[in-house]
Amino acid sequence: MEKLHFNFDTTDAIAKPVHVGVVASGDLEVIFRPTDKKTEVNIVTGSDGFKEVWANVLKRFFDRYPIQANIEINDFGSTPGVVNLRLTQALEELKDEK
Amino acid sequence: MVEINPHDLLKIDSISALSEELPSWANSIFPNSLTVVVRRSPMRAGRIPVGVRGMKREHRFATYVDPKDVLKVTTPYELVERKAWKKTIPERQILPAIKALPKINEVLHNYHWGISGSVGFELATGTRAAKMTSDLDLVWLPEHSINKNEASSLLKELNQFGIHADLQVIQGNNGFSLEEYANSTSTIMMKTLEDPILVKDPWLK
Repeated sequence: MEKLHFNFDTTDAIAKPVHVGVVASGDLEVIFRPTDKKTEVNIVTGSDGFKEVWANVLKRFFDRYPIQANIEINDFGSTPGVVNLRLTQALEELKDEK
Repeated sequence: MVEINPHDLLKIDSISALSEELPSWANSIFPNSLTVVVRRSPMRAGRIPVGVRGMKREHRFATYVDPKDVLKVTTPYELVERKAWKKTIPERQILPAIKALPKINEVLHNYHWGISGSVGFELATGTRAAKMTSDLDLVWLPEHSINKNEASSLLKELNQFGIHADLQVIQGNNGFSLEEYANSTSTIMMKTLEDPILVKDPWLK
């Protein structure tokens, strides 16, 4: 198990918390919470040694969608494709709330 | 050749049947089982996408195998049909995920279901792939759809034995999590041979 921490400079504050994903092999839980502080991403992952992959996936995501949020991720061995999908799904749920 | 689906376990005749050279961790358990798991991914040049399992979660290696090098196919459903948990040695029956199987079988007796993940691998190969903390990964080939309330009650029944049972609903080559469906308010993830997609109604074909 590994804990990873990332910070991003983003500006688009979110209004509501969202929670997507499930606790299951090959999947992950993603929780977005509103924050006034810098965007922080805290990841707990069962698969060690993928820090760089996470950094790339997250950077690509925030480059496109500069949301400002406190993000918690609990990962159970998901692929980058699944991570991207869950992040996108969380964004869509944010839009639904508006 | 028989039809091969994601989650099937393939026994191969030698390590050299795999497309790529294996990482060093694979030498610890893989040579004893010579069994790979079919991945949910497209075939490549007539070769089957497979994964090699190690003891740790990060020990997964994606490669391909030629159908002609497959000696035997074990499906997750076969393990249930032959009640494979009855053949495990007593020492392994204390693992919560294995111990729960006779009870899970009672809950699911009207379902076409199978055992995947580390427990399925252990039952099929006799190697010690499961751990005290292993979840129970199950697959279900539905004959008809169920609504969210029915899905919730089924999950409640499956999760009363002290383990987390995760049931993937199989739709052809695709699959979705019953738990996510039960709790969903908008979209859910459908795993496909290509990248996963978000769908509103996972039962639509």
